[in-house]
Amino acid sequence: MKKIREMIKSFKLKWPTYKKILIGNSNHHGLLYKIAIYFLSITFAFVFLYPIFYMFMISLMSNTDLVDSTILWIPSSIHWENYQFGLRGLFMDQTYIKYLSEFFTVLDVNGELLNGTFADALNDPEPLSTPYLTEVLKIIVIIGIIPLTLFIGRIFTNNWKKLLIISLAIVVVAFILPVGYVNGFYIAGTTTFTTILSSALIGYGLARFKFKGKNFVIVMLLVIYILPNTLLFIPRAQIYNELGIKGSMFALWIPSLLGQGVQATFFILIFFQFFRLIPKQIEESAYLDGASSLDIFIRIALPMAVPAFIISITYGFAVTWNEIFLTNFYLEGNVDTIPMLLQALSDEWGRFADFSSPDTANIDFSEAKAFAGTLLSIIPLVIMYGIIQRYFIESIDKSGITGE
Amino acid sequence: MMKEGNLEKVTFKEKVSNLFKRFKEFRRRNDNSTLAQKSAKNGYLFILPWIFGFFGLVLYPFIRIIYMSLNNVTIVEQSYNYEWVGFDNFRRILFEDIDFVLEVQNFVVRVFLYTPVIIALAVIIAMLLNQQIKGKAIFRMIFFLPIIILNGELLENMAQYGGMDINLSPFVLDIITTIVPFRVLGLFIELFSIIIEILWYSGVPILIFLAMLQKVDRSLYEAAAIDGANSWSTFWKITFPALRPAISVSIIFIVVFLANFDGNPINAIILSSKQDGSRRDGYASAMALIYSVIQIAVISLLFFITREREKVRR
Repeated sequence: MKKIREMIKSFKLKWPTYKKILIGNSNHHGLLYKIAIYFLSITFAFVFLYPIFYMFMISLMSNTDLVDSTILWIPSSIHWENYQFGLRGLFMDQTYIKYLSEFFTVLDVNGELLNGTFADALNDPEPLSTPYLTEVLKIIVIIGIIPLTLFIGRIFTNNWKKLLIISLAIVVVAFILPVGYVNGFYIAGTTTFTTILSSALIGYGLARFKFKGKNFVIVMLLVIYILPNTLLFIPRAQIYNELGIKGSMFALWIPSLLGQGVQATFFILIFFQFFRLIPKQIEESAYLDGASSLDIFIRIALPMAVPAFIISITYGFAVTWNEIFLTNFYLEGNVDTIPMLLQALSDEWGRFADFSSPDTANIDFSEAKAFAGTLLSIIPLVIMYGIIQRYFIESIDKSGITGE
Repeated sequence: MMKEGNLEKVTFKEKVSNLFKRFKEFRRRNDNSTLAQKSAKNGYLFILPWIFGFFGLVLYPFIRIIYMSLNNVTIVEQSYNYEWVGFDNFRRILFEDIDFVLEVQNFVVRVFLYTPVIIALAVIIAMLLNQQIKGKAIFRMIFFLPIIILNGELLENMAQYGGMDINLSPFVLDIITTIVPFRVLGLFIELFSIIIEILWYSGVPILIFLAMLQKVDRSLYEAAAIDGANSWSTFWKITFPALRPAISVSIIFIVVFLANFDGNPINAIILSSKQDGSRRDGYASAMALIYSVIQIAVISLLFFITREREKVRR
């Protein structure tokens, strides 16, 4: 009895300290507060990741598991063949160089490439859209990475050898990567590159120079941003058709170069905001030393704009990678990226499924296969994001993206 | 000129270089522009691509789409055939056919329901991320993941095959329904998938709000704490005014994002109308025009709702 009384007494004495630990005071948060914060964060994170986790568990199930009402989360046995089918369906099971050799031998047998020369192809009403020319253009672009890296790298370093090795490595890796990835990187990479090139130019022009009609340009930028993508795609397609570039990559590159690509306005505004914030003095001193505006832009402004580049490259790449509607429409299906293949996965299932496998019940298309394909399709982006995310978040902190 | 050239045997190269020299001299003589004028010229040069793009890929197509929407467009032997029908396309879309009007209604309702929830959730998550907690980098990475991986096909696959539903076993369901009525539970399960969808949309708003929060001076909070403000009034007096300008920006971003998203059925309707034999390009153009007008109306409405209060506050 005495002991209990003593305990209560000591508890009463110590209660203010406990209270302080639990609730905290004005300049120090208590334990309860921290628990609440962690609880909320973890709940939100769980809700964010719930679909991915659920899709992963389902994607390991066989078709019999899916209809079994006793199995909800954990599959009876792990079925990796769903992923094998998915890999085949998204063209991720063969390397690009192997695909190329097969592609051109097929053309060879049909006599399309050998008998019909490029001169014939150029007389075609829509010459650029023929698939093998699209493929040739792709190879040219991939090899074009080498001079491009040398040219851009010159701004940052003078180490030619290192740049050459890096660019060669990129090209070699491009030929080893799976076909689906190469197509996606090709479309997203080139379109992002052209978009950001023009956006940086236009943003710099708007931020640094005074001229008549500048406010009009900014208002028009906002109006174009607000207008839906679907407004202009019909007449634009007609224009591309008349120019003969519909179905080729130029239908994506030309609007990007002219600052009218997908979400281009967003990037122009990012660069505009960024260049407005960095101090003008260095550029002015360079101007007094006799440098031309373009020189100042390339030599001084661009190297300072690295955070803006990281943000717009990451976001632009993701946007163009995920964009299906306009890309598919302008390219007429000549280049299939992974999201497009994912869209067609259920319809063209018969081409990819392995009907010779002994487990006949597990061949038909089901949500397990759909989820396996979905997860496979996001893996490249997740890897890219994992590598770049630290710089991405740092850049957001550094640059005043959110102004206005 | 020709005779002179023959007599003196001036080579083509020299001729060209002479021309260039003359041109440069001409420019030098007539170039009495001030520094401001030079700056203006350079500015125009920098935005030249945009000017080309604006006239060639925005203004010209816009005039063309207005013309097309007033016509019945058919394609005969790879050339477009226009037949003037006036406002018939608009009449058909708005008063005869039902699909587009329904989808637009859905879109507008969805925008008005989703936008406030996205903003609220984004503010909450941004404030959570702004706290000093362990594993902040991991949480940040998780919350920004949808910015990168979200596309229409992914979300459609998830929704279509039940990737966003709560998966409860009948046993657990039985136990819960003894306490909670089934309807409430059903509503909760329905809401859960919508909340996941909304959370996945809110990546960029979180990012914007977080950046705004990090700009707020810490000493403001300290001063408020010394004056005895509790966290509720601190939020409304310091944090919220700091986030205020970002709200209108985020609203514009969200509406534009929802409208251009691949999963938006209106885009699919416009595309399929373009290929539909009885509708064709004219009808689809009229649809696109109506849709743009509605979108601009929605954005400006939301924008002015959020703007006006700010002015009153001042």
